[in-house]
Amino acid sequence: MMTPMKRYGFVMMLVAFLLTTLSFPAQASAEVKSTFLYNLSNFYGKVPYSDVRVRVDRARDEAYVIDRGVVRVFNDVGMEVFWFGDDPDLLGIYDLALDEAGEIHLLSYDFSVPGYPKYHVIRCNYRGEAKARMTITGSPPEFSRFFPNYMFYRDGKFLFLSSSGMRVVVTDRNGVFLKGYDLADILEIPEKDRPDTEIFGFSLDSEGNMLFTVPVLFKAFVVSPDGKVAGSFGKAGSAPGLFGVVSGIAKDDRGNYLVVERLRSVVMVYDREFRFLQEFGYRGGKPGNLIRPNEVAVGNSGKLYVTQVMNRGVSVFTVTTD
Amino acid sequence: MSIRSRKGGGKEGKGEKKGVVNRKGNFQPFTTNRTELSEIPERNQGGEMKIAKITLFALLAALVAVGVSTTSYAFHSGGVAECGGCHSMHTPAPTGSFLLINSDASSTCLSCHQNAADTGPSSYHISTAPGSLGSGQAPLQRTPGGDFGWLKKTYNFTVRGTTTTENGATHGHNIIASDFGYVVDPVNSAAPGGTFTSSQLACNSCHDQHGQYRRLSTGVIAKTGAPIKASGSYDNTATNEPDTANAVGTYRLLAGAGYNKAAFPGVPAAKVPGTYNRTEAATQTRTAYGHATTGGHTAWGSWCATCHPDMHSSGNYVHPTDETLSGGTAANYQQYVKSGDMSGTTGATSFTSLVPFIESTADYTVLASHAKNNDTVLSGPTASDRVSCLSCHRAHASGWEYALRWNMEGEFMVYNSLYPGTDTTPTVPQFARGRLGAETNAAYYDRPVTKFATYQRVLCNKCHAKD
Repeated sequence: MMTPMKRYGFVMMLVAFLLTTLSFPAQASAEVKSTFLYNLSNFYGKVPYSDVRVRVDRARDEAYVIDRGVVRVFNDVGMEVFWFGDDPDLLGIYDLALDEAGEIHLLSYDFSVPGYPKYHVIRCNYRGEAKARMTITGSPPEFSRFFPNYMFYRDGKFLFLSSSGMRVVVTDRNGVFLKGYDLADILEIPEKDRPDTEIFGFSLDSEGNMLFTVPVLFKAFVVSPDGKVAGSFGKAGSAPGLFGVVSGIAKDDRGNYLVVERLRSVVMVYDREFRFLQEFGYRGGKPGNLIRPNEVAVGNSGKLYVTQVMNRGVSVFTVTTD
Repeated sequence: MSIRSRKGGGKEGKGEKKGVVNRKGNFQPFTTNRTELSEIPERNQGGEMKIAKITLFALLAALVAVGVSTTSYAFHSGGVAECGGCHSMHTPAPTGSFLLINSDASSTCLSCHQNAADTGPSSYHISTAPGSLGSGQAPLQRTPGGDFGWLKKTYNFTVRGTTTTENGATHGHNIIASDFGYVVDPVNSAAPGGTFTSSQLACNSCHDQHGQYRRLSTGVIAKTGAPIKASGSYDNTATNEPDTANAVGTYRLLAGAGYNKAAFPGVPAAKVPGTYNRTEAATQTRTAYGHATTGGHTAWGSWCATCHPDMHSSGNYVHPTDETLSGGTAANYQQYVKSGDMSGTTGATSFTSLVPFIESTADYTVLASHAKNNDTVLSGPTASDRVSCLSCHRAHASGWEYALRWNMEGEFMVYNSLYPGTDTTPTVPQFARGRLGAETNAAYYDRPVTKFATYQRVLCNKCHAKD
């Protein structure tokens, strides 16, 4: 028979054990299967990309890769079928988004006046030929000095992100300001820490939630369209499922979150409850290994596009869970 | 270009009510499960009290392990950073060392300090990703030390029938970061003017990656002692200066005496504005370099001379470094505005970050008051201020050969009111050296060309006034 104090001690130790256990990522039992398919290629072989932006047009099952102002388009089996970007009218291309009709909208910068960059959204036809140019208008003062480096299109609206400023602007198709988010404010990041706090990976899920990683917080966040933190996950560490320097993030069709861990060169898979399932990649020279991956993009049939450095190109995997 | 067939068209989106969303009124704070420690029963018997103490300790340790707070900002904070940020206990790079997670030390640094998504100067980034270094594209970062991306900018140009290649490797310190395409210096097997092996050059050759060096409240630099509370590099004196209980880091984690990579005699003194990676199109970024030689400090030139001893003017017939300017040189600096214009009589606005000088003070609070990015402090040097390596060179890399702050390979920096470029001044390719005019401008941190004379001579003249 335990005395009340012993019972208390037992309970406290149990609580301590549980809390200690919680410091490791919760691991769910669902099985994840990842298979390396190929690197994006052309007739010369693997395109030796390093640190590029990749976007997927799921309606046409094509991948767009932006590198040094040139956009290359790859078909559903990863072969280059088209490129554009040599037209000076397209300026310096940094990102793109496709609308329902397949029109290409480029986020392009004009650096002709050094120190005063201007960005434009250039609407192009399917050939990458410029048809119209617009800028964001009607922004309130707090978004007046906004220089986006990510662009998305969803349901007739554009979403722009400044990853270093941690600000998001939503506009209509004509670039008219609709809504703005100060993600640093939403996360209650102190003013003094803002210069060192930035987003390394960002995407939208099918519900329009904003998914992003903040490496100096060792966390990934889900912010709903109404500007509320719908969830966050991640713990610092170097064991499987823990965050070193996290960057790209996406949500697959099964609701799993895919998070890139730059330092261990892996893509980590979490279920919809943010429980760690598995990770894959790992640093190395074999097919399927990764070297400092950075961004991810989800394609059709479980395809996942992963960018990396060292001229290792864009690796394409299939990721499936039971 | 190839052509493919596809239908076009599109539909217009509908309007929506405007507004700004922030946390005011709708922010949902993080929820954490805190245990009410006040519910711990009063002491009972000795053994049971011990159990309670042990379990309380375990509970607190567990709470720390779980992390009840989401606040974990500023990776280095002047000292050793989050260990797991660079090392992996279980999955280090297979061919690497020190359980690092990348191929080498510098690649590990660039995992954070280079970001492919950048479209301009951004935060603590000191390298531009190759995806933004296409032909005609200048590196994006504008830190006082410079963007290592210039090392990847090789230029070819033809002058009077002779084609010349300006290898990007000449633009700065060739750190080895194999994951990011930075390779050993192809020409110099050792540091110019010294014996430091080029194949060993990495970020941590100069920066103490573990940030052990600290500035104590006594002003002394030490490797151990009071805990480091903050960076110490910035101009916010309230939080970036030591107190009786806490130290701050050395400027930019620079290594000092007793370092195992190079025999530095001490650490140099400086302060920089909190926002330092920025265009200087409108206002300059003034790093305030100091001259401190005691208490674990050393002069800037002496610090650089650790690897480049023959470049230092002490015992060598080279340009003076760490030496005072003298009244004549200081007066030149103060009066020089641009070629042919010596109208800056008071010197109050004579500072240029293209020719910074070393202030004759070891007082960090004075330096902090001068480290500005809004042009509120543009005073020039006095006779007791000094010239040093950084007066002419950037520490990382620059748009010009030998990491110089301006182009020394021709007599004109500006030609006919234009930044030289293959597009702007095609008749004088010796000044453009294969660059576009915009690249030249970027190498000068986006300054308007109107800051200079119509035919601006090189900035040696800032001190020597021969133009």
